[in-house]
Amino acid sequence: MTEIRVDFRQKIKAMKPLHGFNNCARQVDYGEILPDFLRLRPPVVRLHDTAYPYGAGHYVDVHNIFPDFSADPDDPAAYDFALTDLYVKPLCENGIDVMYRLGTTIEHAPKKYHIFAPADPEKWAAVCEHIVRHYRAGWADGFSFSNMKYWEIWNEPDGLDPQIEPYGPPNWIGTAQAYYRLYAHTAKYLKQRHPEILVGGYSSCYILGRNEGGKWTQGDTRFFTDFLSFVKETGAPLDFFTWHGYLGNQGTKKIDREFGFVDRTLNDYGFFDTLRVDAEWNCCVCDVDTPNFRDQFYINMRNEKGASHIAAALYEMQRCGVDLALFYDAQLWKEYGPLFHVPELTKTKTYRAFEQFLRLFEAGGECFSTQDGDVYALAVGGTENILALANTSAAEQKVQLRVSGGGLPVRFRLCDGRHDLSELPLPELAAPLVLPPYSFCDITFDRQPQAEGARL
Amino acid sequence: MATITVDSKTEIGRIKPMHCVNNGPVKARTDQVRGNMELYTAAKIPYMRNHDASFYPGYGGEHTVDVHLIFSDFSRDENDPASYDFHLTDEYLANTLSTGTKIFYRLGSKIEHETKKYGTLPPPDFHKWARICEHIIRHYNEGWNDGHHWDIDYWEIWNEPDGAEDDADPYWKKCWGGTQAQFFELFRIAATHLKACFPTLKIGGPAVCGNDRPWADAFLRYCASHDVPLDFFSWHAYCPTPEGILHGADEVRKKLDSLGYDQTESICNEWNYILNWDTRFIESIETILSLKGAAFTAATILAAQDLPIDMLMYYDARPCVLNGMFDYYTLRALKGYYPFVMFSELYRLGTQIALDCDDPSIYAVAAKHGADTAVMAAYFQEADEEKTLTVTGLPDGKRVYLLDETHDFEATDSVVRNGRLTLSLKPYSVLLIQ
Repeated sequence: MTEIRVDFRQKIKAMKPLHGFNNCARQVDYGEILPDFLRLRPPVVRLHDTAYPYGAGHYVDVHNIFPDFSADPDDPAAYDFALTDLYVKPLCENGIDVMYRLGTTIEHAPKKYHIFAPADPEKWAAVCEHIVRHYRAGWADGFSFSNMKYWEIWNEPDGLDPQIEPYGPPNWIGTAQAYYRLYAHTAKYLKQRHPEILVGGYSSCYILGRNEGGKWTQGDTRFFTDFLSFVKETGAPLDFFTWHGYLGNQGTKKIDREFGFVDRTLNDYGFFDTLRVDAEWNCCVCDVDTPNFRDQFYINMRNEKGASHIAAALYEMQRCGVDLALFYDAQLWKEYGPLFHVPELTKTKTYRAFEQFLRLFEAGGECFSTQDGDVYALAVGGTENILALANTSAAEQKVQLRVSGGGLPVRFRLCDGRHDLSELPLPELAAPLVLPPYSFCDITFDRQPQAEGARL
Repeated sequence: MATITVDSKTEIGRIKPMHCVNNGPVKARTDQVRGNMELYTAAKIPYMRNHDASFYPGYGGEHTVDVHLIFSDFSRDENDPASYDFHLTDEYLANTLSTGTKIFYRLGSKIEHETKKYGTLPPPDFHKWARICEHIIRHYNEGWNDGHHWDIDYWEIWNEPDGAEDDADPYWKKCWGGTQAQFFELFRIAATHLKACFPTLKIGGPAVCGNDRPWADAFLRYCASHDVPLDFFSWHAYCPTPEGILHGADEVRKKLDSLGYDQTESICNEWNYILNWDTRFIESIETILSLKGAAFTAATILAAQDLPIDMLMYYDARPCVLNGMFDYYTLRALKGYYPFVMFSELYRLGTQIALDCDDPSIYAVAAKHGADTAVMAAYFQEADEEKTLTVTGLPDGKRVYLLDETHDFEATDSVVRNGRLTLSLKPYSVLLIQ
C-alpha cells in the first residue's frame, strides 16, 4: 500500500510556469496556431528547431535571417525577417512570452553548415542585436513586442560524442573557450543596448557530465563550471541558465538530480537570481526490450504511458523549484510533437497532462505533499484545493491518502488508457484510491475544514 | 458475385512501371534518424522522383536536390565546382540507388506555401539556369566535380508551373512565380540545351497540375510549334477514385500523337486520394493512411496498366501527411505499402496477359513469365459489402496472398483447385494470386 500525505494548510511556494513549449502547434509553420494549443495558455514558447530541419532555410536561425554574413549588419536589406515574423507575431499577439534562441538548428547530417563557431563573434553579436531591435524596437519594419523577452545564446554547445553522432557534434563545432567568449561578448552587447531583455544560455545537452565512449557519464562537468567561471570573470549577464532534461530510463528521478546540481552550482558561483530553466524536456519511455527503442519513445509519448510520466515530471519540477520548463516539442508532424494526434488534430493523453497542470497553475500555490515510489503528487491550494496524483508504473497502485485542510472531495478526474481526464464518480471515501497503471488524476476539494489527517 | 477470367495464352504487352513513387528510403544513422531501407528495398520500386525531398531532414533538408539549394548563389560561376553543394544530395541518391530503385530527377524547386517565395521565382537568367542543370547532370552521370556515373536517365524541368493564373496574387504562385510565357521560354531554353548536351537522356516535364486544362494544351502546342524536345510529358492528379486519377490519359496520348510527339512518354508523377484540399483534407489523409487508401492505391495502379500511361508515381514515399506507405513516426509499413510489393511481383513476371472481369468495383491485372502466372486484384468501391469472387484460368496450386484488415499481404488457405478459385472478399481487400 502506498501512502500520500497532503496538507493544504502548509503553503510551500508559488506555482512555477512549467507548461511552456518549444515551438507551437500549427498545421503549417506559417499558418494559424491551433486554438487547442492556445487553450493551454503556455507562458513561454522557445524558438529552436522551428520549421525543422534547418529552419526550412528561412526561419529563426541567425544565418537564415542574415544569410550573407559578409553583408552590412546595419543594412535592413541584409535581413530576411519575413517568415520568422509570420511565426512570431501570433505568439506575441496572444500574450505568450517568447524565448528566442539565437544560433542554429541542430544538424544531424554528415555535412555541417551553420553550427561552426562564428568567424567574427563581434559581428555575429551585432547581427543578433539587430534581430532584437527588429522585434522589440520596430527596426526594419519590425515590432514592439515586449514579450520577446528571453534571448538565448546558442543551443547545446557542449556537444555529443561521435559514437552517438557519427558525423560529429550536431550543435557546435568549436572549442569550449570559443563558446564562452561568444556568449560573454554577445550577452553584454545585447544587455547594454536592451537592458530590459533577459539574456542567457546555453541549453546544456547533459548537465551532469558528458558523453564518454558512447555513454552518458556523470562526473566531468567542466564545460558548465568553466562557463560559469568565465561569465563571472568577464561580468557577463546571465539572467537565465538553460539545460535540457530528457528523462529516459531514469524517469522523473533525474529531475531532482539535475536541478539540484544546477541550483547548487549556480549558487556556488554567486548566480542566486539567475532563473533555472529546463529548456527542453520530454519523457522517452520504452517499456519493451527492443533495439527499436526510439519507435517506442514516439509511440509512448502520445499515450498514457508517456503522459503519466509527463504529468509526474511536471509535479516533480514544481516540487524541486525549476523556474521555467519548455517541453520539446509542440510542432505537429514531428516525432517529438506529441500534443495532438495527426491528421485528426485530436488531443493526446500528453495534451491532457498539460491541461491538468494549467489548472493546477491557475488554482493557487503549491502545498505540502509527499510521494511514494512510482506515485507522484502535487497539492495546490488557493482559489481551489486540488490534489494531483500520477502513477508511472505498469501496475495498479492502491494509494492511501491522508489529507489535511482540504475539505471534502467534490470532483474527481482521471486520465488513463480509457479516460481523457474525464470526470468520474468520486472514489469511495473509506477505501484506498486505486490508480490504474500509467495514469494521472486530480481530486478537487470544497475547502471546508475537515479532521486532521482525514482519510480520503 | 464477380468473376475474373484469365487467358494466359493471350499476351497484351509488358507490365509497366505503375508502382513508382516520389522520394526514396530513409537511411538510419546511429543518432535520432531511423530508417526504412529494408522495407523500401523489398518493395522493388522501379523509379523514385525526388521532388519535395528538401522538406525532409532524413534526405538533407534545405541542402538537397533543388537547383537553388545545390547552386545557392546564382551570381557565381556555373563552371566552378566550388559553386555547387552536392554532398547531401549525393548521399540521398546513393541511398536510393542502393535499394535498386532508379532516380527520376526533378530540376527545380519544392513547392513553397509561404507568403514569401524563394526557389520558385523565375531564375534571373534562363540560359545560365540551363547550364547549371547541365552541370548537375554531368555530376551525376559523368563524374564531374567528384561525381558519379549513375546513369540517371529522366530529368524533369520544373514542377506544377500551371498552379496559378498569371495575374494571381503572388501567394498563390506556389510553384512558379512568373508568367506562363516566361515558363514556356524557360522550358524551351532548358530542354533544348540539355537535349543537345545529352541526346540519350530523357528530358521532359513540366509536371502540370491538370492534364486537361488549357494551360497544358497551350504548353504542348508551344513545344510543338517551337520544336522543343519533349521525351516525356508529366502531369498530376489528385482524386478520390481511380477513374478520376486516370481521367484524361487517353486524351493526353492523342494530343501528344497529334502534335508529333508520338514517342513522348506520358507520365503521371504525382497522384493520391484527395477529396479536397480544405474542408475534407483531414478525411482524405485518414483514408490515405487506412486500408481503404491501400485499396485505392492498388486499384489505381491496376487500372493504369490498361491505359496509355508509361509511368505512374505515387505521392509520396517521403514521411509526410500524404504517405500511405510508411508510418510517419516509426517508418513501419502501413497497409498502403503492400500494393507496391504486390504489383512488383507482376512487374517481375513482365508480360501482361488477357484478363476479363465482369465487376467494375474489382480492378485486376494478370501477368506471366513463361509458365509462371499471377493475378493481382483490388476491391474498391464506396460501399460496405462483401463480394464473392471467382477466378478461372489459373493453374492449380496458385495461392491467395491477402491484404485486408487482418492480413498484411499474407498467405491464406485459398488455393486454385480444378482450375477455379472462389473466395469472399471484404471491402477494400487486395489480393495477389501466385
